[in-house]
Amino acid sequence: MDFKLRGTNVIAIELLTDSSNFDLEKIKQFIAEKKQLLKGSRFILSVEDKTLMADEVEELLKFFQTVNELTFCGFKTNVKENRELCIKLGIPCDLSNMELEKIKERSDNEEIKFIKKTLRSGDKITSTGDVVIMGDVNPGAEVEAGGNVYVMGNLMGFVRAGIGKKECEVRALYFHAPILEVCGKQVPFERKESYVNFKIKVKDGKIKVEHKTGRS
Amino acid sequence: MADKVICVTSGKGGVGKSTVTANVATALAMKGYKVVAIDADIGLRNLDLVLGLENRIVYDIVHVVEGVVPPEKALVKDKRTKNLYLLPAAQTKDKSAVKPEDLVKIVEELRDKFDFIFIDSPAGIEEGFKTAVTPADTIIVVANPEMASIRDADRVVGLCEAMQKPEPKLVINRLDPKKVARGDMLDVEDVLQVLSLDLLGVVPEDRNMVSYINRGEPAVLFEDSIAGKELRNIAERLLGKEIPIPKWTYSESFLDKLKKLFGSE
Repeated sequence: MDFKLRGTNVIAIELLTDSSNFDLEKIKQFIAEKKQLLKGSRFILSVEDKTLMADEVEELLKFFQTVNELTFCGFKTNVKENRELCIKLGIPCDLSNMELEKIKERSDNEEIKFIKKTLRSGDKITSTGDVVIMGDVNPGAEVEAGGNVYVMGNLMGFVRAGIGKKECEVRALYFHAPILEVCGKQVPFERKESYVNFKIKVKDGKIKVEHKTGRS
Repeated sequence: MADKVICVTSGKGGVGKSTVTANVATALAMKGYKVVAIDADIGLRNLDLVLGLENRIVYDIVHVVEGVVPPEKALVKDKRTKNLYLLPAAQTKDKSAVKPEDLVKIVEELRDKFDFIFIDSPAGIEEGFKTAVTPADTIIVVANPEMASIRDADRVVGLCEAMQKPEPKLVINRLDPKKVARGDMLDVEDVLQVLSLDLLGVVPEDRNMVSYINRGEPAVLFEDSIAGKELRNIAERLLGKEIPIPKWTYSESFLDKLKKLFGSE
């Protein structure tokens, strides 16, 4: 019995199984055979359309502990029950294709920028990935990011996050900006609107805004 | 001694740069310091009007740059305040007539002869602003408690940072406690929240200010002027004295309450 292997861009090798070919013994045998190929790699077991039993998971875990050649990083599945079981057992488990897509969206050369000052009016920061600002973003300042934007201060300027992406988030300790752009969608705010612990997230094409009580 | 060369700037026009320059320079001169105020707003000269020296100008800063006269000869001595001098701007030329290095040269020539040199910057962030800021040791940013002025001031602070100047000090001008109490105007805290600078002073709105300017008499000359008092305090703070900044609050009078009740306001 042959299983498919594939590389993921979280630097790991993934073994693909589904309801039709899932067989504990065969998986064990396959891995034992491919030990040399998998040597030194991070390893993920993907189980699609099949609900795992607790004893199956435990048996697999025990087996992986005996294989020193690879580092077992967890499961990946599209079945909710499997994920819940893994969480109960304390094993990492990625759910769904969404997570996969999210990882795919992110290329390895994306940067993360740390800005350790307040952005004043006229300042502009751009990044291909995430931006973390340890200060304020004053009115008239701009931040453009391919990824997420985190403001550890007051966000009063213009933020454009998730450029060219389908998912992103913007967070700020205090928010009082006239407009935001997340994943190409513009979100305007009224002049009087100001929030504490502000978070805006785009997921599955939906925009979700969360915040604590507004500051008057 | 505090820093000698002080540039007063704001980004936005009409917030009171020339008024603050004229008054603080006058206040320091009244205390016996030898002060010169340089009007760097070439083409839109008005510091001479605020100081009431418009009818005594023969030479201006462009004549000095062109080498027609030395700086000392172009200086206009104030008639009321001993020790106060003005180097006026040219009205007939534009900002390109004085380059940053020209002003640095003039300031260096005057540095040993004066205790304080004030430079009144033009509005905007172009050439003229850069010329005015280049020779400065200290920068004072004047802002009104309104969003447009704050945003422009913030931009100016960013530019000063880029020019590797020390962090500017802030003067909030034309604060109207009555409007703040009504919620029609930003208060000092709101301004500081955005600009986060050292506060040098808060000048309250003074309805007599227009007439002082029209008469060419700086408000600091008048004991009873509320703005004048705070401008004198700013001068003291520049000298290093620790004078607390008053809390400008307003409590409604009986008449105001009555007006409000009948909706006449």
